[in-house]
Amino acid sequence: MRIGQNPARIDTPAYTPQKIGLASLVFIPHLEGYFQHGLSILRAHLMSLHAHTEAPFDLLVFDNGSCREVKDFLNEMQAAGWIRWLISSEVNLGKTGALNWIMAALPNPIIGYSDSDVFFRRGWLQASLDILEGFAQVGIVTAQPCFFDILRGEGKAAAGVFTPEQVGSYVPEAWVVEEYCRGINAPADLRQRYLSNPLPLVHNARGVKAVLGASHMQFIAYREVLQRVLPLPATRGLSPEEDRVFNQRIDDLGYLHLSTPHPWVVHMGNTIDPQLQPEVEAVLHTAVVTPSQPVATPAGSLPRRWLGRLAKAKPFKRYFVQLYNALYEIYSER
Amino acid sequence: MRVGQNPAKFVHQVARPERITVAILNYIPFLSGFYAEMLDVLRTCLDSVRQDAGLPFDLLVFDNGSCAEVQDYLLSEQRAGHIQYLFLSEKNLGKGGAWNIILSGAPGEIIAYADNDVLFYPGWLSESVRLLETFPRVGMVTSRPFITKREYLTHTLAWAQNNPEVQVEEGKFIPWETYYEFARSLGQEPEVIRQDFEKDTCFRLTYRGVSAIAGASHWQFVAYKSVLAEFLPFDMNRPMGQVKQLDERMNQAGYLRLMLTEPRVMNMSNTLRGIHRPETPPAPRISRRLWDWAPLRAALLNLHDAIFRLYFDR
Repeated sequence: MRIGQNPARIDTPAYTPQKIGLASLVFIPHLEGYFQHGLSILRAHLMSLHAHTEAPFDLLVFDNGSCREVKDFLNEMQAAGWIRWLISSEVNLGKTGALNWIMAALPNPIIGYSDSDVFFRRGWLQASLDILEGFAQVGIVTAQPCFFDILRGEGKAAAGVFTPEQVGSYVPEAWVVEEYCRGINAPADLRQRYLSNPLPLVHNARGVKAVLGASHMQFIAYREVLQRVLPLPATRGLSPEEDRVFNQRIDDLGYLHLSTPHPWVVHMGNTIDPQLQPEVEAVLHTAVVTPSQPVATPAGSLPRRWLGRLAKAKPFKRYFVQLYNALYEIYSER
Repeated sequence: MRVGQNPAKFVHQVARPERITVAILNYIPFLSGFYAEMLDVLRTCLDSVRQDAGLPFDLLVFDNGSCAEVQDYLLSEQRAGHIQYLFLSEKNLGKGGAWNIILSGAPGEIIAYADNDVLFYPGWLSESVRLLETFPRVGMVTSRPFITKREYLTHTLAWAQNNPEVQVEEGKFIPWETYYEFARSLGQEPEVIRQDFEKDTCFRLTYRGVSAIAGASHWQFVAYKSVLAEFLPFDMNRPMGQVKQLDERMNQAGYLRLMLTEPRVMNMSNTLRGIHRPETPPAPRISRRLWDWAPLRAALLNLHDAIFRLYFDR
């Protein structure tokens, strides 16, 4: 039976989510073979996200049935204040199964999604927002030029927004192509094709440029747009066909796939590219402040402010808690 | 860089979530005062939910910023395979904020929601789903009968009274023991409960051989996820008090709100008194009159709330 009054009923405000919510999907079933560097990659991913995102955000990590070591690591990261929301699934729901949950549940108006093997560079968010907010009918924006057209030339939305004359071409610098190809371990012929084929480029009235095409590896989007494509089919662990349904629905609704001409994110894959290693090392050795909310300065009446200042002094906590419990006993048992 | 092929690409079939997700919302910011017994209450809740629910389900626990001891317990429960989905929030999103995430994200077609202080009896889920699937256009089913606000029953009663297939009866269909145990669990005094019982009546609806009591409540209910989606999002501004909107809006939208005729769940509140051990009256206090002197009482309760905010409100 209820004894006393639930303190949560007092008129304290609940946490208000940030404008931007970023989600990361983790699946590291063991730390052998393909996943032997899984924890290092995951750490680099999370720390690059925190070190190089220059706006407040809420981070949701969805663990899709990883091994005990990874779950423990994520719990430690959350306890240390790096992860706002941690969803731990006992089993692997598949990528689209997790996306169904993430995209439906995140309360933030702008949602960013990323696989957990993506490295973020400083400036990625602003460059992505410039495109998301600078073009009409934007669906998803990836912070890396899109070389692979997941819609296989069948996308229709871009043709509804841009005339052929408005679509220019863009030849990325060779290092951009090389970095991308190393990230996906592209065979020589594919690398050669990416080096020789220009990418379709559009720009807005303010001169912001965007490559046509985006990837479900990493993107940002408006929540209201993402909610329109749910639920996605979810029967496979990692399926290009099921991933493609997401992109197809975005396009069918008339929303654009766009990406930044500059690679603000890099696909690390399952090992860290030696050429990326210095950037990763720099992030891991940077002192980053945890994104926990600043402790509120005591406000209100003079006695409340005085009490707040006193409570900040560590030795007093024990006495305040004892007083709290004593007052509860006095007033709850009647 | 990628070396080799990601084995996840060869996972041809992933686990399919059960049709029903049972979602428990938990918030225990510390283990003293009001929350002194709450970890035991939570254990009792989670133990009972798994015992003979009558239908298979996945268990989701949403922890809304509890203390480390409670989160450790939940993590150990997940490791033991008792929780399929564990959602740990660093901050208290309030009940409305947590609902926005649970009710939109939970993978089941049917969501059975409960606060963390609900005790479940065998068959609670199968009986509730039977009502959900027998009556048409059901919004929510609560798994025990009790007296609810009549203003939130208007659509349910209007449907029943206008449907020749439904037998509508008004009367005392909640036995005294069932009525008393629930009212007492909310901390009401026995004499007040007796007086209320004398005057309260409820409506029993029988449709296609299945009976239900009109009414439902937001502390425990079973509903279709697609129906709940119509009422999202909820206001997130305050930790509690927003979720009554569900009762009101579901009635306004013309959905039925129903309860089982027999108690299949119980409200424990913040102690196990009356559940696992007999209720004992508090020891008499000599200085009762002093503590109840209005200005002192107001000042001390104010102090009590202020300390909670200073240390425990995340």
